[in-house]
Amino acid sequence: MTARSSILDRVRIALANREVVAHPGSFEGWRPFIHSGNPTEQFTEMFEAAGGEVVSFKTQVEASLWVRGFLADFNSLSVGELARGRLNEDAEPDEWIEEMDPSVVEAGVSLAFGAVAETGSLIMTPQDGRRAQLLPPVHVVFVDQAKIYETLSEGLVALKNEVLPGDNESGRLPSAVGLHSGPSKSADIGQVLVKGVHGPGRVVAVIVESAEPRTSKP
Amino acid sequence: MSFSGPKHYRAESAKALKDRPSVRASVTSATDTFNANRSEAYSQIDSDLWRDWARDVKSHALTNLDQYLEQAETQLLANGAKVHWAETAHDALGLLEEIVRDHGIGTAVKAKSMLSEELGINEHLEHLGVHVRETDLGEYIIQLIGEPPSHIVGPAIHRSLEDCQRLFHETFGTPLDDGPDALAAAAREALREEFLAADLGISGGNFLVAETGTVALIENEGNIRLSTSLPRVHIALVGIEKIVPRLEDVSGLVQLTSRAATGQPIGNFFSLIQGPKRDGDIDGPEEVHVILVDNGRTRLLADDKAWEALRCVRCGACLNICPVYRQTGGHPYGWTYSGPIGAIIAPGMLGLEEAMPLPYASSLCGACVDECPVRIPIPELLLHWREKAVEEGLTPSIESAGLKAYTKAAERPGIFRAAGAMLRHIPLDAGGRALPILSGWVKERSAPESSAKSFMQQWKEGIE
Repeated sequence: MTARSSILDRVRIALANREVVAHPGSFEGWRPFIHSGNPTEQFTEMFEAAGGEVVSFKTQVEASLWVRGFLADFNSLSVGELARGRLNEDAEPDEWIEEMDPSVVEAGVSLAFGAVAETGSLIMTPQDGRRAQLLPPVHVVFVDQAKIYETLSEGLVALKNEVLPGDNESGRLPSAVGLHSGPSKSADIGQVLVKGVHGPGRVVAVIVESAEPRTSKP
Repeated sequence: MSFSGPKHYRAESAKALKDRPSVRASVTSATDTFNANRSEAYSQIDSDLWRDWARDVKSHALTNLDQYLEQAETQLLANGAKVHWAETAHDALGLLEEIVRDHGIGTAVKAKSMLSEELGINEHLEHLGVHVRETDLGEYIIQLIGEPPSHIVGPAIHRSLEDCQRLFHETFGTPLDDGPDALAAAAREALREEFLAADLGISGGNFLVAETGTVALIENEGNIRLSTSLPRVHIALVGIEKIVPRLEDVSGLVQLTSRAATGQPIGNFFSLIQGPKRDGDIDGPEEVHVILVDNGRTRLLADDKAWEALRCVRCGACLNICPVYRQTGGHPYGWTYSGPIGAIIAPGMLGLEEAMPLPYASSLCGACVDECPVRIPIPELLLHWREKAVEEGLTPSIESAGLKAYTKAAERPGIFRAAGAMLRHIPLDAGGRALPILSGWVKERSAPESSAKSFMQQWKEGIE
């Protein structure tokens, strides 16, 4: 008998006379008491409360300009696969940023699939590259306002139903999803809060209010 | 570093209180913070409604466990993950060994996992010649010291800042007065190299979603994301009770668990892992192995009452609020899971005799049940195990003899009064030491003075 069948058998014997408990249904509709704002306001409030930073721009061009300016202070960069087009939006080739391996750079740039208002989370997918999301001490993330979902459940279902670049099946989640809801932190040393343990100690969400019009070629 | 078993609980807790007063100070301060944060986080939601919902989702999953396990397996396989089943710790270690051999693993990084402590993963990897590194900062600290975790969420909460300063000074040569920021930076640098070099990443799993075949992991440091993203092989050790039916369920449970554990709306990093790297992915592990572990869980599931303890989401709220746990931290419990939850799952998972005297490591004050996010009736289950211990003759014989004697005396008013009068005339502090049962009470406490008259005498004469 395999381990699988003996475990399942023992489960079935244990449950033989156990009353089955019904599933209580949806978790939806039970919001924290504190929020009344729209999803973007709520995302901003939650993300900042967890130690993240938020900036917001009307268009992608303005957002890209700001990010390129912000990144000018860093000596080395890594840019996620999907973020590359966004970062260089409207830029002249000589302004384009030289990229390096995420393990040695000072900042990383990514594009989030979307965001979640109720938890203040950015939804990160592997299509953009996990290393650029995790290894640099500073992480800058573009997110489109239209994809800020009210609830975590809505955000995950939307992700599940989307066909992502390089993944030809909708109806399934990507190989790995990371929700980033603030900087890396720990209080394991003497119960004092420290930022930037392992992951990025600084995370900046760049909200693009309207992703259109896209001016540059892909 | 492994535990020696619960049977030395009394001696070990007395020793901890006497010999290492700094442990009590550190644990009390850390749990005070956990408690304040949880109260605030509960106050921001309709916590009764959320907890009823969570209780029912987990009970639903457990009462249909066989079906959901099969569904999770099917989904994981469809996602390209490999699924293994382990009946015992020994089996799990055997599976681990096979993967290590097949892939020529030389180094491993580990994300915090209580199940891996339960199974003794680190010792076994070292035995196989694999260099294994804990990467959660708290776990890293206790790995360097060579002790087991003392709390489910904060493994090093029994260690003070001064302890860490000394440890890092000896390990990295950092100045003795370096603050937490500088110490964490030193750890980041050392661990970063290990992350980049590791062949294998090992994690646990907070939830396993049957519908999507998802291993879900909550954390704040980012070390879990790194451990599951960088090495070419990822092994997730998941207890069979971690099953939840749907993606929507995990969306609610991650929020409630985070609020109960640390008072956050959600951990700063939440990983949902379906399987290995796909064609369109830039990076990620080439193989993902999920090991589904029983190791006593079906035994606990078979208990008509105590099965409810399998709802546990390992938030640590019952430890933080427990007036008994708070005095000593987790080490005296002698097992991976300490505090009230440890005391009710140990008898089911290890066997009652093996778990003694943990069901007695409680004053039955009931504070834990008020905080539990999945409403496990902890005090009831402590009593359940105590009843079983009496039935099975596992309690000290002097105690049952004493209770029998009391029952006899209480049924006969004359004897009851005479015995009461006798006890009133023995000075409790000195004389109590000589008496059975009473001696256990006065050994570590100063006894009150006996009243000269019985309650009935005073009642007749009129109490002022």
